[in-house]
Amino acid sequence: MSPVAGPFYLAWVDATETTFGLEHHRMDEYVYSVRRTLSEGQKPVLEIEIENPRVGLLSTNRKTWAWVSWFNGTTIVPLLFGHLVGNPVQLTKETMTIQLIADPKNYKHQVQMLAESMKVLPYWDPVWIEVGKRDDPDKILETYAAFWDVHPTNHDVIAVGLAAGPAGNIDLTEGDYFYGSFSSTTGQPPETSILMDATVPWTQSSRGIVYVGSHIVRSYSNAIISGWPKPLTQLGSGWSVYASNAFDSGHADMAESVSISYSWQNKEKHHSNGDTMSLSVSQTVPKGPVGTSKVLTQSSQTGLVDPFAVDEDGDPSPLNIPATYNETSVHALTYTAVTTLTLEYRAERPRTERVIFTINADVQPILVDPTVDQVSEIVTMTGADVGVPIINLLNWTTVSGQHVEVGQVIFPDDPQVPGGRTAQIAVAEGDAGTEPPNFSDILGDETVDGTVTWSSLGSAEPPDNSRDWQFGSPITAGTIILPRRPFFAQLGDLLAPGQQVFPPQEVQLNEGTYFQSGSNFGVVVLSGKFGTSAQIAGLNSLPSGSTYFMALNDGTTGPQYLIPDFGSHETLHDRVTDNGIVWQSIGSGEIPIGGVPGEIRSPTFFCQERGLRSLEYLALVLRAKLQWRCRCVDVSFETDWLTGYTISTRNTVTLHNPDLPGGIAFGKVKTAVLSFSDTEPAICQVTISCLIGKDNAIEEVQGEPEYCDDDYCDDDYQFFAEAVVLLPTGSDLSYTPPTYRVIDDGLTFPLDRGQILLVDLVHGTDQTGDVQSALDSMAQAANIVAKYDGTNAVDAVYNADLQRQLLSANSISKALEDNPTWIEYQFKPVNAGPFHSVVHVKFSEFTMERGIDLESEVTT
Amino acid sequence: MSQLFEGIVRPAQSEVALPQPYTTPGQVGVPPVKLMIGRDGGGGGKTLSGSVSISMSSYCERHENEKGVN
Repeated sequence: MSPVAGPFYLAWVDATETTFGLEHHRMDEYVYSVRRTLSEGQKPVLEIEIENPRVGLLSTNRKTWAWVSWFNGTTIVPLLFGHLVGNPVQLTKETMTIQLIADPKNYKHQVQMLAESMKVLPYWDPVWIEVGKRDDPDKILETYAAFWDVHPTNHDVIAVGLAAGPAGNIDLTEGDYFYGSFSSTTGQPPETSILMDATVPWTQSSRGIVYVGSHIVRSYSNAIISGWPKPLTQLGSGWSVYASNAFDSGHADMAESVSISYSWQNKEKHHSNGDTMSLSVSQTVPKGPVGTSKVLTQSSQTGLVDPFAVDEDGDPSPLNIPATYNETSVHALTYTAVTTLTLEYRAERPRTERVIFTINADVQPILVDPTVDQVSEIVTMTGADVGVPIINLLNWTTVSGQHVEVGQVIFPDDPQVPGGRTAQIAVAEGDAGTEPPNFSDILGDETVDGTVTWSSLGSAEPPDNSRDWQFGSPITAGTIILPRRPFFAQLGDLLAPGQQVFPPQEVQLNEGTYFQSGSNFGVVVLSGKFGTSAQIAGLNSLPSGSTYFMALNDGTTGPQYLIPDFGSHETLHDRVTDNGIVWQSIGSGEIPIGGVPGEIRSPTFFCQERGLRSLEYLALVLRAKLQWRCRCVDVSFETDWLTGYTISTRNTVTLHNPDLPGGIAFGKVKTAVLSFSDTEPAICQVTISCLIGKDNAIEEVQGEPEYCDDDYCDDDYQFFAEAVVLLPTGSDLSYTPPTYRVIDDGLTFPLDRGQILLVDLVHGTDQTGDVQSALDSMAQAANIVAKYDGTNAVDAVYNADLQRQLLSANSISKALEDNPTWIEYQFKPVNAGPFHSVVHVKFSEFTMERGIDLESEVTT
Repeated sequence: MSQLFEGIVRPAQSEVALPQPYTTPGQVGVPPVKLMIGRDGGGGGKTLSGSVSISMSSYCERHENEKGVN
């Protein structure tokens, strides 16, 4: 059935009448002229000239949405579904021009939903996007080199690339467009070279213990034992003593002198001359590890028995002199020091890594000798700290109409309104509304949105790096924390020093020491000897350090050291109670460089898998810029209405014309304007934009495996030298993955003894000779005293005393000072830095389509 | 063109040259941590005294005369 009147129809409708049907085949207004404009990045607009209805078009009783359609000779097809932009400027003439715009009511939601599906690496990388824009659809679209495109009638929204035609290519030969309507223009010179200079910061961190080793050292001094570093001693540069022990296996300190006495009496009743009548022996001897000894004084008297001796008168006077022997001595003891040492390191090393690369476009020249400013650009970017977790933050639109779980953090869409710069967190689950609520910017204020309750996190954007769990802290509902994993050791390692001595000893454990025993954890809550005076509290788990928790109610956190059981409740939405506060897991954040808070070990970002994705993101940013700037030749033409009706900004067009260099132009439709009026022919003006590439393609090269044959290991675990990797955009851009080169102190975490120990030496020679010399001097001094015969000659006494003092100067302590035995350790500092590294990446040229052959030598 | 950029960013180096290392292994501006235990030889060592005393008496026949007993 042919329609009456026409060929254009306008039906005022409700916004909900989104499906075109027979009921819309009517002429609510008489249409004199029509002009529909489809333009990249813009919503479709229709200008129509209608008979002046002489009523207010925006009257509350009138409908402001309209279906505009036309009869194509067979049937009536829709041209645009949209709403009035505003009152027409001219209200008093017979006709007026009104403007309708295809602006779907759910445009933001559609765009947001579409953008969510596009948040994939490497096209979307939160490392390079400020926290408030990580869910911004336009920001997400940046690396795709595309526009949001709204269909003029069904209002579906898709992303259309700068050179893509998802609706297909339309091939037009000379007869398909009007003679004389054809023209071309060249825009600004293409940018052919962009340098990217991007930097990411992080803090390389790690904690651990290193068993340094043991020594057994024999010495006449106990200086090694008394000077041995004690546990918890801070050594500086990130080192402290974790466990240590030094004891004397010879127990010289327990050594003492022992006295032995022996006497004998002759009990016989009859004796002969010369019979021994008594013997008395008294001896004091050292009991202990004697290294060397010296006799100081010695005296003896020979016994004599002469029963026939006579006196001066010749009378018998028998002689009986007892035999005696007296000796004094000194004994120097040796110490056998048995030492062990275990150190703890806490590395906190600021690092930055800077990646520099240039991407050149493989394009045909536009200018003969362009200036640097015309064709080049430097892009400088600074990324987020890649060593802290990145929270997944969403815009409100993303969750509008959706079910929201407790703990979801969002940003309101519009930063211009009050509360728009806040972050909001869901404190009661439900379905979010479909209209943006008025969020509060006051911390803790709640906003009801559908059946969801949001709590304001304040006007400051929440940092990625939330604070740790702290004991005894007042907490308000909505507080987010990131419980860190404390440093802990195996219980066996803690108790090992006590087992290294004989007899075994109990080990002192300090308050706040966390340990693992089997699958359980414990913490020392009161210092003391393990097993007796130390108080230990058991813990089911320790946090992993990468899962965020949110407080569901106000309260105060629990006691010191007793970290709640976060580790067993890290599954999303699991809950754990902490002194009345209920914490709920709100998921884990990604730490781009890998690891967990406190254990960020990697020395490089860009030379590992995640870093390569970030590198590719940067390349995609440049690729999009280059593609935009190299789409610089516009070709315009006019075609008939019927042909033009099929052309939209979702098409590419191949245009054949002998006036074009090479005779052909291929480009993406930039604008398509359909127009009709009573005085002008029905036409469509189309402009396409052509890339000026050379149609070259890049090939991927796997490269040679560096470390092992790839039959024996996964590709993920080996490095391929000279590999060429294509970006996910296809065969238009590739790069050679950078390899890590050591630019720091060479420490690789976790540390081991071999890495950190620079010097491990026992100094000194055998001290026995020096000690013996000192003992000799002692003996000489003692003999001077012993030989003093009591003569009261002043000079003699003075000289003897002086000599004795000089001899005393050569003492054992002096000998040990002069020739000490000592142990030297030197360790690499772990808190060196900051380290700044630069990674240069080689990219291929960015190739693109030859939309127009500016170098053609062929006349068509 | 890229060499021009490199000239801006790293005037002393060519495009393909590696960056100068910021540090070299073991020399990072922070001296090593040194432990020198017992170097002062302190403590003076420990000595013990010894002694020996021996005495022995023998029998000798006594004689009497006007001066007494000898």
